[in-house]
Amino acid sequence: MEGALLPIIVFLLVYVALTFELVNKAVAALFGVMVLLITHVVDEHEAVSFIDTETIMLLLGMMTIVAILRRTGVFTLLSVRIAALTKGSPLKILIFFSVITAVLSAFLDNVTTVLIIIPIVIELTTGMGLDPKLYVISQAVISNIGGTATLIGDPPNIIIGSKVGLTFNAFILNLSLPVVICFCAGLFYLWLTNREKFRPIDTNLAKLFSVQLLLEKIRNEFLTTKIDRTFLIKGLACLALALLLFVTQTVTGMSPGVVALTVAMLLIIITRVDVEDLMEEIEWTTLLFFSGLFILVGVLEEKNVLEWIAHNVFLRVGDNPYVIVLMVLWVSGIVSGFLDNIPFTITMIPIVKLMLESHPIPNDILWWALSLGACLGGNLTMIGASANIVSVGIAKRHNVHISFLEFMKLSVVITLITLVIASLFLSIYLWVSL
Amino acid sequence: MKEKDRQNLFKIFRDHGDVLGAHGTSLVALESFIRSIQDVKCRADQLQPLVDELIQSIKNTEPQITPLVHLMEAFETEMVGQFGEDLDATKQSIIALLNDKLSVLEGIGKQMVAAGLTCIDRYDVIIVYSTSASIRDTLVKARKIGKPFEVLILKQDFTKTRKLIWTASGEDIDHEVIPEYNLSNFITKANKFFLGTMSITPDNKAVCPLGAAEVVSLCHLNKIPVYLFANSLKFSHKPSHDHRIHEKNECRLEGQTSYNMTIHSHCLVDLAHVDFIVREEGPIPRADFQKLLAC
Repeated sequence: MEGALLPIIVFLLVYVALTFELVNKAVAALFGVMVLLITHVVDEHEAVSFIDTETIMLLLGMMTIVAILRRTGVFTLLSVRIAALTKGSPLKILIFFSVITAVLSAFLDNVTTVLIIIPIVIELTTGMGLDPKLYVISQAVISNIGGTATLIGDPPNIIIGSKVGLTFNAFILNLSLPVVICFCAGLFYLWLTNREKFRPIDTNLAKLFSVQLLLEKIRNEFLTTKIDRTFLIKGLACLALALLLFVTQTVTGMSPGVVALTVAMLLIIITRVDVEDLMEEIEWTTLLFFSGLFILVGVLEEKNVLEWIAHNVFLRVGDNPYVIVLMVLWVSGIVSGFLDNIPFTITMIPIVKLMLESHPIPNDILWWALSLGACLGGNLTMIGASANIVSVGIAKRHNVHISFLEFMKLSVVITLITLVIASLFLSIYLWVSL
Repeated sequence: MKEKDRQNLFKIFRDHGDVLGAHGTSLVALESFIRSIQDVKCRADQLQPLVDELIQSIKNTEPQITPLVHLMEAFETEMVGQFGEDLDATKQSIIALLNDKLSVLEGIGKQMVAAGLTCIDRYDVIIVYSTSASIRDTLVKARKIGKPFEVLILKQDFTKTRKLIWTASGEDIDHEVIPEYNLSNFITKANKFFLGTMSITPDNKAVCPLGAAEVVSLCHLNKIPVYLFANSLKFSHKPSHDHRIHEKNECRLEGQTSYNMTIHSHCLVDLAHVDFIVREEGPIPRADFQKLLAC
């Protein structure tokens, strides 16, 4: 580990800056990189080689596709239709919106999903005199659960899929079952602990009337974008094409990053959107943040720091595969609840690779443990995932104030339930595979 | 109905009024009433108290939606004796009565468009402020029959003006959107002002969208005729102070400055500043207002 002290110090300082939000996350990561470049710990060519271009391409491609699709207004239209289907039944609001949130989160990013869903949920529940907090927190939590199911659903999965070479189908085949079980268990817990709040309203004529008026208001308020059918068809056709190419990755040989960016460019060409406008909707800070972190972790890997951590921390637990898998799951889950799960996943990938070299575990189970832990663990606290922070922020703009503890009161138990389900699933999967 | 639920209902009514106007809100309310009757689950003997409770709430909104109040009063009279032991049959007869009211309202809407058309002349430049469905539909019809005219849309908060802007763009109506506070710079260009209202009261007032009184004053001062679109259902028996204009005091924070602001949902326009009231039968000049109010 010669020459490792400075990279370790820089990495820890960047982590502290990220955790306490001392500076912008991209600035923190890139400033750390600059320190390493100035002190000649790494040169610029080597630094650039550490950036995982596949991940960046996939993120950029999906951000572009989602930004264009959002302009079609189709997701808002879908949410308004769902609101109408609930007919104001509190339980139906929870279930229907949770289903749409989970599905959208699996194929869009979680933040986009909550940006679309939460304002409608707040309008509906507040107008009905229900407590919107329960619904806001539940949708944030569900978006993190839904996002776990696919390669493109959550940033940790994008990173794992790109860096490890796991396919879109592999994610769906291996993670959809535990995710569906976690989703059902989460909803069941929400219903069980708040049964009083989910009483039907169909015996109350005045409430039914209010709901009908409210649904009409929601239609007027949220369907502000006139649906351009041609634009919509082009957008949905390209999304379908992207999904088809993700699914047929093993046949076409096209990586997810190539697929996403190709479809994004195609979509820009055929919809003729204003590219300058579109570029303002791309989260460049996130892409720069990812690039900086890849370099910082790449340096630590090159200096054998991660190898040391793998051998002296993670592999100290012995060679029992069950213990190794569950340790990766729970450590990822708990750490992701308090720290950003993106840097954590980037750091863990080389460590998991080293662990697999020493203790091969079949069927990529250790990667699924990392994915489930990092994604589901984000639900532990309000700061554990971007979707949580954004949901609470939207609620605040609508005068619904959710405290850190109020969020945790619901989310901690659901996180523990989902991590226990993931533990059982991984244990059974390992038992079958060994 | 709990007070909190009543206040929620009133707020939803106000929000609808801002976007759809009194006529549009009344249509939505009747359709919602029909759907809620279809969905309600209760015993046959429980239905009447539920319907009575709902009618009272609808009649007492803040502010009152006069067309809806009139329709509810007529409905109350007609539904006497409709409640029987068969729940489904009772529901069907109530729905039939409500559908009748819906037809009445739709019929009035069509008559208002025909009357409105007589108020538009070739090359008029019309100021439009409110979200009245009658005014919107009149402008669309005038465009369809090929009358050349221009509309100056006074922009309030976007939610209130959005539908008007959409209609003008979608129907290819020659229009310009200007902020309401900038009207004085355009006043010489316009020659008519079309305004919608919630109610006309016996004390010579009209309950209009917030800010309309200022626009009316400016038009009156500049001798621009004011056309107030008010169908026969908008004439109320109650004086203006009984129309329960909603008042809200809220704490606002803008930048570093925090302040309390009081805002009303609607304002009162003096009929002395109005030149024509447009009813189903056509525009009535100011000289005949008293005759109209006496009816």
